[in-house]
Amino acid sequence: MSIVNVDSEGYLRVDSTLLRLIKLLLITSIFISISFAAISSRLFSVIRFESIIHEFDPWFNFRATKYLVNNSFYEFLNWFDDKTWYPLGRVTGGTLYPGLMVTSSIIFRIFEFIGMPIDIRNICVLLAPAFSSLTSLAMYLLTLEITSSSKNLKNKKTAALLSAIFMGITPGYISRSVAGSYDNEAIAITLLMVTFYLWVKSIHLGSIFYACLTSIFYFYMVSAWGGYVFITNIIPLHVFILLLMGRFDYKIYTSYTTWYSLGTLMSMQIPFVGFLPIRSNDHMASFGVFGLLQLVLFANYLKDTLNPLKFKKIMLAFSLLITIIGLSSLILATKFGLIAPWTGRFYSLWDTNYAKIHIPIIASVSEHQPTPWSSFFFDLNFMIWLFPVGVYFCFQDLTNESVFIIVYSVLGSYFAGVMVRLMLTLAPVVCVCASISLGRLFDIYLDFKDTLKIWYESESETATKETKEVDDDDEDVKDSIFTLLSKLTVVLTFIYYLYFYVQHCTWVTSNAYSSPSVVLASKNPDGSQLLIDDYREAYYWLRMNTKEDAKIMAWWDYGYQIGGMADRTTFVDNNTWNNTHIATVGKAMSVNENKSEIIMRQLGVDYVLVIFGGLIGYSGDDINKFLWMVRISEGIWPEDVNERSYFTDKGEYRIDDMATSTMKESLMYKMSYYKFADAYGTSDPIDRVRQQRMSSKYAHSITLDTLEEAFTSENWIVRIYKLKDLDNFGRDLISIGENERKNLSKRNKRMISRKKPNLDLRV
Amino acid sequence: MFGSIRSIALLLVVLVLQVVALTSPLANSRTLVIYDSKVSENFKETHVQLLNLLSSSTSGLQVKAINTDEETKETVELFRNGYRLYQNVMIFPTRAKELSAEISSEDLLKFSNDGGDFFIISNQDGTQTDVALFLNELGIYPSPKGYRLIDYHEESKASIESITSPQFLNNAIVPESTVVSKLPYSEGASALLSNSEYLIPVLKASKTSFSHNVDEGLVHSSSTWHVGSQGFLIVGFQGLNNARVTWIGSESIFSDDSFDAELVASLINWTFQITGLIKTEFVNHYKLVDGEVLENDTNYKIKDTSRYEIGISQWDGAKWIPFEGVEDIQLEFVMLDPYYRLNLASSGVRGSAAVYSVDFQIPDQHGMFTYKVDYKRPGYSFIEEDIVVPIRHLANDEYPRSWEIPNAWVYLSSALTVMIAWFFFVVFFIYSGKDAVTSEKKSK
Repeated sequence: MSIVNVDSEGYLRVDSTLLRLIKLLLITSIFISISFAAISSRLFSVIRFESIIHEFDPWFNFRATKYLVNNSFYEFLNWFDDKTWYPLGRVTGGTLYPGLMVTSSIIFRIFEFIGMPIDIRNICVLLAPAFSSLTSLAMYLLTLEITSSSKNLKNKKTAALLSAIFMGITPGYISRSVAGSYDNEAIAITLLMVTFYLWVKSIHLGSIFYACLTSIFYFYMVSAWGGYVFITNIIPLHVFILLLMGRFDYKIYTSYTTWYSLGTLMSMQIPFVGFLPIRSNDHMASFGVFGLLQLVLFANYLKDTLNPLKFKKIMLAFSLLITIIGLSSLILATKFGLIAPWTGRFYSLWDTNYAKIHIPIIASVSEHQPTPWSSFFFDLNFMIWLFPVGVYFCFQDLTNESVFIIVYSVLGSYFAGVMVRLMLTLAPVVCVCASISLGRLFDIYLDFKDTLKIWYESESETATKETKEVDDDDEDVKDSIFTLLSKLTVVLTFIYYLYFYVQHCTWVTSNAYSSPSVVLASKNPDGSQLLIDDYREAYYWLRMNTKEDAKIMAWWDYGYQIGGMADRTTFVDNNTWNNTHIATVGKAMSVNENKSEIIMRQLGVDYVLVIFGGLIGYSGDDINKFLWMVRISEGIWPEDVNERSYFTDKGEYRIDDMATSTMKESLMYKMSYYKFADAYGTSDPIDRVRQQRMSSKYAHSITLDTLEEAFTSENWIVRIYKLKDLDNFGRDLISIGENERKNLSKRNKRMISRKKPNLDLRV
Repeated sequence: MFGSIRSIALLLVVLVLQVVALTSPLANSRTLVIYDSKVSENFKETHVQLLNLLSSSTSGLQVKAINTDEETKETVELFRNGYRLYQNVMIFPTRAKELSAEISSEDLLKFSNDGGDFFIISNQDGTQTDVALFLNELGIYPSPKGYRLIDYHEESKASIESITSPQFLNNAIVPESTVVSKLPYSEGASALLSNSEYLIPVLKASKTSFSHNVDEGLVHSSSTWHVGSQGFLIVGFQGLNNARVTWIGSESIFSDDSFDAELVASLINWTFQITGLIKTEFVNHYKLVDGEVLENDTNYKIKDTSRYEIGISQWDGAKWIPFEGVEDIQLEFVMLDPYYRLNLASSGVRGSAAVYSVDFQIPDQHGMFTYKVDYKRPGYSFIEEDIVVPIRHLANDEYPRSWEIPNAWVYLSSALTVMIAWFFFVVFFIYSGKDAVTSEKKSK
């Protein structure tokens, strides 16, 4: 039998295998295109700049990965990092999420094994794009699974494919996964989606197999990102809501208990997590639901055996008892310290002002700021208004699976509103909901079968019989034209939206999210591109010109970069685990030279690095971050540092002649503006970031005695100072400088040498 | 006849001196003596013993006069082409405005910063301005021109001529064995000292002395420079780089008339880095396991036992010998603050070094710790040795296993019991009873 036949009625009949093959081919090619789109749009940064690790945290991940590749996994696990947090050191192996490093080192080994040795840096750079294509695949499966039992959505695969492409190129996700953005989120979002897919699948089937897979991927997620707590809370919440809806069945019981017990045990194998799953409040919800499920199961059993009246009484008594016992034990356990109290980061999720008041170190991170409204549209484009529609459709279905999407969308939108960076967790659910609503829309408006049928029938009718019923048929045809028109309008509109979405995503990706921030792009006056490479210039200088064990003091933002690029010891870095140590560095920057010198000598500082944008107009510099240093150190030493004294009487943050004396005396200020006047000759220097003009005379009077300038980069963005050695003769460095600046004449000096000194009693 | 005998005797003395003379371990110990030709015209004739002493214990002695007439003028410089020309410089009192055109107070500071030693002599006519400014930077304030050192309890004269049985304050500079019955100190100046830690007073002015400027009128706080024991007559100074400076307020002891060989030798030997020199030969730290030294393993973890040892030797004038019999060397084990401060005990001699060591247990705290020996004793070279070592935490397999902890037995046994009970439960559940289990619901 051939594949294509002509049947007895003269219709062309195609064998179903061929159709399936064509379908497979189509789907495969669609997936290849989606992967291509997802990966290629993330490569802007590599093409514009180069294959380079971006920003801050990725530099640590990169350094850790190199350590893992060069040493054994055992050494990595027990890595005591003596080049950071000097002199405290950091138990790095036990305080990181190793998933990312292990993943890329495995990829590295595989490539090495098959005879394709690839530089580990390139693997790290391209890991996020590679995983983004996997994310699209996971999104496809998740959407398919969610809509699998939906009665309203006909073309499920359309919706699923749409969600895959949405996810592939949504800026909300791209912002964290461009090439070079080698961060935990790069693989965590993929894992999040796979875990959710497997969870929905397992709850759909009630399968232990899928529940086990869920917990395995949950484990992978725990190993990769601190955001795993999101899963730890959303799954119990899902189950809890299903219980409230009276949807309890053995499928839920099986999958949840399997996932909880296996997942918890496995997650405890990650050293950084350790006993958190049984000690921290963040994990208590999942434990509570686990217990609740047992009770519900027991109640179900009782319901089957007892008569309704007795059952009701027992239930009432039991539930009261359990609520009281549960609540009081939770409170007591927290009080006695058995359960760790909620962490500051967690509080700041609920109260956006909490961090600002209590933990400046958390508030000082820009990605912990509340999300501005515009960024929802910026990151999600037209999906943001399809999102509620999709949620509405989920309410229509209200299957167990769509309840999951509802729960996810509620949590996701709340968290995205609180912190900018949690936009990342919202993006997937928005993609799912948008694709569901688009799928529903296309079900109706992209379906031209009826119209074609009417046309065909009317044509064949007019061809065969010429009766009086022509009028009726004409009306049908007329209606169908209107239907067609309206359908076309809607469809074309949405196709335009889709086109616009692609346009927008590409534009946002290329303009907003593809800068490595290590290298800055700017424009020359003639419009050609100018790369500002001060950071690497300075880090390279450190690497080549300082002793291997030199200790560099800088604000914590640059800790990872100094470690990664300059390979020198730092005091504080982006892993902000010790607030006091950060405050100490902040204090050294905020107080005057005299006090600062004491702190620096005690810490063992060799060099100090500051970022200064005043000359070129780079706004992300240390003077703009200075207030955070002041605030953080004020938190520990309120008697030495006071934020108010850095503002003028009028409450202005000034750096020019009008600046307060505290400001002018602070080490950070002096390091930033030391010799600033020299760049302007005799004219008044202007700080281009603060837009303030100093008088030339004042600017020339800024001095630095305890530090000497060691290096200033091309555009003055990075300035490095060396802490001077102690004076051989035991003199105070500042008084030496002051004496030199007096510039006394020989005669005056002679007078002084003959005047009786005002000395303390020699003891 | 007599003359020839005398000269032979002198030669013999010189030869003997040369044989026993101590020398500096420094390769270059060139010495420059600067004197004012207007102050002592026949300097070389009146200071023979001093010059002999210097030429025997140092090398390349040069004696240069300043404040000379134009035709006999010599260039006096400390640096040439940026290089230091001398190791030791001795400056006698001068009335000149400047030592030379090439030397300013900054040059003196630079010389000392570069490791050179100064022996500076003042008198009651004050100190040359550059030299005084240099001394002021160190914290020595010699009395300027016009002040007279007076002690009515000792001598009835207007100013002190000598000091009876002076008490020298530093044993390393002037050994206790040096007994001087009468120290000539005519036309002397006194100095005030700051509280700088690097100053080493050698001789204090007597309690009843003061220096008074007659021109300023009656004895009054503004007309006196020092009063009582706040004044100093001989002061040593050692900078962080071990360069030494000695100041003395009178030149009497150097001239042949009243030459005190023993005292001058000890002062010069200390100043020009011949005595009081100690150095670290080696610093080691080991990991100890059951009292055994692990040679090549310094990968410390918390609560390890560590042995620290330092070898210190001393220059005896000809060679390095062990620096023995010291009990106040301390080791600090520091991370931000000292966790330990331990006395190092003498543990024998290795080569030319005396070994001081201590065994101790590293605290239960990981981090970057510094083995710090900061041995600064007045009169001796400074010893400062820092070694930074990382102390790591316990690795994942270095904790005791659960079954080694009795407390864990409770949990282990309960876990085991549950497992076994579960197994039996399943067996009984499957194989016990005759009827298949049917729920009431179904039967209804």
